[in-house]
Amino acid sequence: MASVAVGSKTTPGPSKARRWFAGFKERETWVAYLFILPWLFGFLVLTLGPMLFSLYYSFTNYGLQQIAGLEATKSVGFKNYNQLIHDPKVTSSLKNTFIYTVMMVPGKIIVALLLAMLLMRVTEKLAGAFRTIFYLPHITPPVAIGVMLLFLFNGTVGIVNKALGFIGIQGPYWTTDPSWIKPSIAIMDIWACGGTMVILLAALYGVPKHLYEAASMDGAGRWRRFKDVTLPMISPALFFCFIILTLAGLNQFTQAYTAYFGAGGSQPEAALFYSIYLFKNAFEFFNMGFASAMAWLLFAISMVITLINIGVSRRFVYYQGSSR
Amino acid sequence: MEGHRKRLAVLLAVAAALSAIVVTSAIARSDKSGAGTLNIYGYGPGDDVQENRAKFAAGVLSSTNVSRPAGDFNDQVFLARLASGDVPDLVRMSRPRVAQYASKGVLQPMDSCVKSVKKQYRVGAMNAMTYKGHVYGLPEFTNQITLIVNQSAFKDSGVPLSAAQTKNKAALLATAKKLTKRNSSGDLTRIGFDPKIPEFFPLWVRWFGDDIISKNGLKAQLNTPHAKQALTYAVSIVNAEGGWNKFKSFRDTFDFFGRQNPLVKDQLAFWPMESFIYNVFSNNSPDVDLQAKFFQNRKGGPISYLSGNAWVVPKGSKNKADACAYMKAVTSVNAWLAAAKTREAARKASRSTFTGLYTANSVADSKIFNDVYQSFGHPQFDKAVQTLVHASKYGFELPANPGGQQFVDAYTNAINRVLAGQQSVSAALNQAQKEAQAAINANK
Repeated sequence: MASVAVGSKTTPGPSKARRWFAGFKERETWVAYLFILPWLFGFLVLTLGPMLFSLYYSFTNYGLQQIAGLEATKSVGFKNYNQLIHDPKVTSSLKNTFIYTVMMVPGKIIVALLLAMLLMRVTEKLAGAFRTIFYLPHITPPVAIGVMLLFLFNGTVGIVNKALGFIGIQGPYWTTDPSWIKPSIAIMDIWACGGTMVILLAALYGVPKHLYEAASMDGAGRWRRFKDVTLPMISPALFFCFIILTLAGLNQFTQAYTAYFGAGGSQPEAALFYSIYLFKNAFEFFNMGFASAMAWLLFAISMVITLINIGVSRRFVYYQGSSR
Repeated sequence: MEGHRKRLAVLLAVAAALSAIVVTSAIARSDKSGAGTLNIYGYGPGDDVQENRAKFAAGVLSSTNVSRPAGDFNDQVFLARLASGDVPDLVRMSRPRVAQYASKGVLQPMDSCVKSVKKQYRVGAMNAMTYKGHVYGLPEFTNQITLIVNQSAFKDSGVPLSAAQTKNKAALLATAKKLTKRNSSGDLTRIGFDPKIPEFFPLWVRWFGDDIISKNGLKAQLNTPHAKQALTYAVSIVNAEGGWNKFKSFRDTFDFFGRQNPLVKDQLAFWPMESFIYNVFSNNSPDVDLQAKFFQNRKGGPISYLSGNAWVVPKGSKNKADACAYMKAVTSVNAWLAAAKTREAARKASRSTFTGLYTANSVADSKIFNDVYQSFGHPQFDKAVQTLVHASKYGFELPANPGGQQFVDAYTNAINRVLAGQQSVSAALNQAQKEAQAAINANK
């Protein structure tokens, strides 16, 4: 018996590649690939293709003459990457982006979680109506949010300062004071937290009721139930939101561009986010090679942050059915 | 089995549709019109003046099919068209962009095309079209800056209209303070004088007797003593009226192009502004109590800062001959006259006001004023026309510079830093000088 067992262990089975090719003998495999063909087409042509091109361009002098086909594209080695280190606006725009992300991500998750928990407490009929109301800002176009930002946060007549005035607080000059420009953009983003709220709401619905009952029987209060039951049970959803929002924060463009960098915009450096500076280099200054290098730096930063998050998540995220 | 076949058929149809999209795009891409068609970019359907001039120019090219897709010039769209080989034959863009494109060899020098007509156009506007000795097309509209005076605000504050001047800077600062109004909580309800910085910084530097860039457009002059004085002074006006935060927050609430504009709402007492706004005001608020005055230099003489659009031909244009003919026709005296006559008649019929047309073609300007213009509308706008028609004679325009938007960004950012109290005038302009010169050097 033992020899049979050993024999079965050492006998090599068909390789992964072989198994993959063998799958094409089945009609279902073809059908499956046909189903994912539109996505595959879009990914290759609209995402992977441009990414590879931009990687190539980041090592070249690609600019206006090359776009117009007047001069050949030449390799410049690491010149564009070297320029990233020496351009002070790269550093300042990255700093702006990080500060904004650090404000927006926790703010959005906390507000979305609070709203989701409130929705859990109201009746099903009311919950439907409130879900719609809270979700509406999420489907407001970012360009409209950018325009609204200037109206809502105007230091003189803005509704935010008027509201603060009612409770005796003198509001700041959100849209002109460099210290308040990023917080105002972050607040507008937090306002549009409907998408995050829906994800967390679904996670909250998924927490088994008997866990709360057991915790209550053991004498756990509200805070204890939240800390030791709710948070661990929804931690995968929280982690997902954290990753997605962090990436969205690092890519912030539309709201800030519409509010401050469009036609007649005041162009404050406090609102110069990394993606906006990248866009300006590409489409206003025509330094496509440098802009491509900027894009790859952002990609690398995003990857590092995501990997750190995944590493940290192993300690804090609880997956049902996992051994931990 | 039947179900499987149906599903397979649907999937094949999806695949076929995708292929069709690719094939159609490829066909559309290769179906570019050649000679016999003039593809214009940046001059889509517009107002009556635009349409009448387009009609006139199309009439000159009677055997050519003119294509004018909707939309104004946009760098991103233009770059995409260049990259895809779908090069337009003729392009309308703003004049400050011309040198940025010309310095990279993207535009076709048009010296021989414009040789016969260039004397009709203003020297400053032609300089903005000229880079390293070559002329890259023809200038179109001109926006000249004059002072707009809200007479009611002066009367209300007991300030004589003669105080609406820019000759004496100490007096200007005092007048600005007198005309500024605040509510009980200290918020502005009227700005006395808006120096319009960062956008009109070149005008303030000229007031102090300098230019922000050398005549050949290759040397930035943003940190000269005069530039620093100009910025210090303009910022002092803003600070005297409550500081940048209050000033800008209040100014952001203005509905400049609507019926509740700052004149109607008495939010602004006087300020320099481009000429197009008179047409906007005359349409939206014909009864406002305004007066147009020259912006004066320190000796009391009139000065104005000009800007406008340009017609250029990209390299790769398949129809250069028609492009040349069209740009000459659309900016010709007769095209402007035809447009002016139609607008004048329409305004007269509607008992509105004709505030004139201001172009880079000085011959057209005088013909419009002498042969077409009639005083029939609201008197304050008719009087303004008398000032506007002369303002461009005293105007200057920034020469073509290859730094383009980076040059503008350099001084705009510097002024914003000073206004926000983040940097001193000297440090900000020294930084701007470095950035602007680096942009010029990188592109020249």
